[in-house]
Amino acid sequence: MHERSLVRSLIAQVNEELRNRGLTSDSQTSQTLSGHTTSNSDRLPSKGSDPFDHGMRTHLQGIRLEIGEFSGVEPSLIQLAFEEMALEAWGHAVELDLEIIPLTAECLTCKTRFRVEAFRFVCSDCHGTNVQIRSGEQMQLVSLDIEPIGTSESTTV
Amino acid sequence: MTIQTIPVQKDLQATRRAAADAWRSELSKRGILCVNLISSPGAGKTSLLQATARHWAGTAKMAVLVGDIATDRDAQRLAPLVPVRQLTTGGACHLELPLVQTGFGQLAPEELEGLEFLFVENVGNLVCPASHDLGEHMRVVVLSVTEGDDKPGKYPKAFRTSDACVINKIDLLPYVPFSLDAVTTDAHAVRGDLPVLPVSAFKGDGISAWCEFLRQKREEFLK
Repeated sequence: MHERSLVRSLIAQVNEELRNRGLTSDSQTSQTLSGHTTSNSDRLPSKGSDPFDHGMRTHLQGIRLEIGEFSGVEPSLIQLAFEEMALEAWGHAVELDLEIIPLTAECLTCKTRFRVEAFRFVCSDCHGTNVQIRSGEQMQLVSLDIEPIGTSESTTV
Repeated sequence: MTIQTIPVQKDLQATRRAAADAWRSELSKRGILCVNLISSPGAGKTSLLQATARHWAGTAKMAVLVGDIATDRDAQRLAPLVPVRQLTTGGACHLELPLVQTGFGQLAPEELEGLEFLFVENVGNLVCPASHDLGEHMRVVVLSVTEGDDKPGKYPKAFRTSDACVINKIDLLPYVPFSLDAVTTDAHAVRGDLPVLPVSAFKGDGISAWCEFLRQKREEFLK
């Protein structure tokens, strides 16, 4: 049951991706962002060079995530945890588009690549068990859907 | 306004994986083989470690970090034999690397001096511990014969990600419907090269083979 901790790191990663691109989410509270703005302004000689001052205000609409079938997390529990924690983080609902990546493996004996059925890691062709997982273990943040609203300067003054 | 899609492509596990890899190589540098023991509650992880400590009787230097949701009962059982620190998760069903590192940091310099084997005894659970890399060199799953020989296929991640499987309580084999052949076949369908080591931590059968296996693995990993 570590879905909540996974969602927590997902939210942190999403915020970092937005920040790195000079974007802010419309309902990220001032307390979330002011910390960064203040610390950046403290270090930077010119306030104008702080990306947050010209940060494009956006509305975070959706998140696309790939979850491997063998990643050890349950997609429906991720969805449930996300619904609740997205509201806490951004103050509005964000759509989570989960794509389940099938578990596939490659037989190191005969080089056949096959779909692992029922977690039996046995080659579909030669029935060998010397196989390596090729997909289905990942948890990958694929993309973010945003809707631009305007710059922070035009809305905060 | 129109919706824009920003491509990201970030592995959410990358940070944790890097931290575990860094810890693993730090332990390697110090000559320590780290073994993460996972099992359901009551399979005999602590008994196996007691038997291991008695078998070596100081000829190999080991220490144990033992994880539980509550109490220090396991640490109390091991303390007369080897250096041990209890890791209490306060409800979490598995150990994570930072807690293991904290426990390691509490070992005294004389306990760390010449340390060869660090055992991390995970919280009894065959599900979540399988998804958390604790920077171990080897993950060992312990299954006792009273649990049934159908478990590898039911907990595939625990068995697929383990580097050895200890079958414990073999002294009870005459009394329970458990087949060593069946469990081995089932385990090998999940991981074809999984070594299966039958032992009785209580009676001592198979313990010398298990200890020899660990010594060999230490040579392999740390050469």
